[in-house]
Amino acid sequence: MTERALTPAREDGPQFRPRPGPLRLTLLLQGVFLLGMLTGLAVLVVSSPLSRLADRVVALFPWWFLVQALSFGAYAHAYWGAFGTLGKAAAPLQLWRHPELRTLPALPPLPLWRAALLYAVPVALVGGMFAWGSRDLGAQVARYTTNSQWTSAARLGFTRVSCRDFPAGRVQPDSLCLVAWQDFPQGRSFADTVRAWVQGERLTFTDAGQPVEAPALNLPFRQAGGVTGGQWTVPLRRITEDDTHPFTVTAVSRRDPAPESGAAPAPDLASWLRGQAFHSVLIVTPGASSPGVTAP
Amino acid sequence: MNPRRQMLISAALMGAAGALQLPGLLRDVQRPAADFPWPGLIGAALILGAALGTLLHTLWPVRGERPVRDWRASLPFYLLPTLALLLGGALLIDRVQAQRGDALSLNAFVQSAREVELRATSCASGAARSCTRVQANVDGPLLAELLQSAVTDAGGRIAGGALPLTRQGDRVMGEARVTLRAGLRQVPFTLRYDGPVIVGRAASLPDSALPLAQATLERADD
Repeated sequence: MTERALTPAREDGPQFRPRPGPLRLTLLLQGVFLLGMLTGLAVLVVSSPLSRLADRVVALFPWWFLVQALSFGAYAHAYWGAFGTLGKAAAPLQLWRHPELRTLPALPPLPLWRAALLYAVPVALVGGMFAWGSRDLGAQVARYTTNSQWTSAARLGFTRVSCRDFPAGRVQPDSLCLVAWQDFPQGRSFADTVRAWVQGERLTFTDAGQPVEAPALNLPFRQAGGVTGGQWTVPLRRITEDDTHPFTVTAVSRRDPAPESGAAPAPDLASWLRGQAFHSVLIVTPGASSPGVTAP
Repeated sequence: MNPRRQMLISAALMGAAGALQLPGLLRDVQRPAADFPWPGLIGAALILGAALGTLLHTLWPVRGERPVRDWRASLPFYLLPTLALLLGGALLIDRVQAQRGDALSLNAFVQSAREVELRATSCASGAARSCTRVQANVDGPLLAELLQSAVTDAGGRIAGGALPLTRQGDRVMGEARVTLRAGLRQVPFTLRYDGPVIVGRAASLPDSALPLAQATLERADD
């Protein structure tokens, strides 16, 4: 304890103080980090886990790594040249406990390129971390969305099949192809089944009880040449996201013969369907189809 | 406080932090996942290496006068323990994972098969070899596509690149050799699969449910 008072006066005590500007920046960034994190954690503790506010706070979380990276850069900028020798420049806590050390000469300024490098290296590391964290997330979201659409269609009597033997031009590599050859549950017609599926994919799930139903879409079914069906661009839910994305839904069936109304829906698909053992197809492709499609 | 005592305190704190990391690393090694726990190992090696390095830096040589060293002269004290921990830890973990390589890679495959909605069941045959069976209510060609993405997601490779399909009547079937990852090693497996044809089918579809498309993954000889 008696040593502490002697430290600044000793010959082997610190000879320099850190560069003042970068040191102030370090302390400022650490303060921002601490306050921001504490505020965020407090919000997470009091808010409900599925709310938008909690979502925003969690989305903000990775950016605190950037603040820390800049803070590391500023610290390195403040002390560069004194790292190799223990105790050459006064540490922040020493400066705090011994104000007289603040009168020591500051470390000599660094050339601009070296200072820039000291900030760039940690920022680049965090950037690499971000890039690694966001790799392939789009594919993951697309897969979970496809799986959820498949599951809900399977509940309505559809079976998923490979798209490779479907007529070219109607399917994309990321399409979901479903067929049905049995009666639909509850004796529904094909059009009602497809409408029920689309409505099911438009539910919004929140933490406030029951899922919220979206307003019903007007999906016109046209009958001609022994088939009924249509192609529409509809906004459907995507997993892990709040909002909806446009999907192209193509539905054709030869199960419910009806009086002709208007032009034939998807003639190539209809003639192909006549040669198949199943009676209905449902194709779901991410993205809006070519213009000219009835978009509700 | 003199620098030596400060360094000893730092070493003790870093040692405590490293000790806190070890349970996580042990859990990573014990959990049935096929990936090598590089992040945990590197983290533990860095912090324990720094703790050991600080100790050595402070206390070396044990007898005689300890010179004041600049950072270049003290670097080996930190680098050598860190590298030794990294290499030794990697060897140790690899030996542990190699003992149950089949189970690890099968488990990784089952996990990624679940991601594409394939249901895993146990193999009917009471064979001594490691084996798993997956099935789904899809047609044969789609089963092959789903299996391919499951194998690729599990970090495996398919011999020949794609899964071959042979059609026999209203069924398609095939067999392929795949290698799955278990830690740092590759384990060979045989993948057999068959499923019904629905699109372009000659016979009519039955009123009852079609037989499920299914596949078995069995350990192959090295």
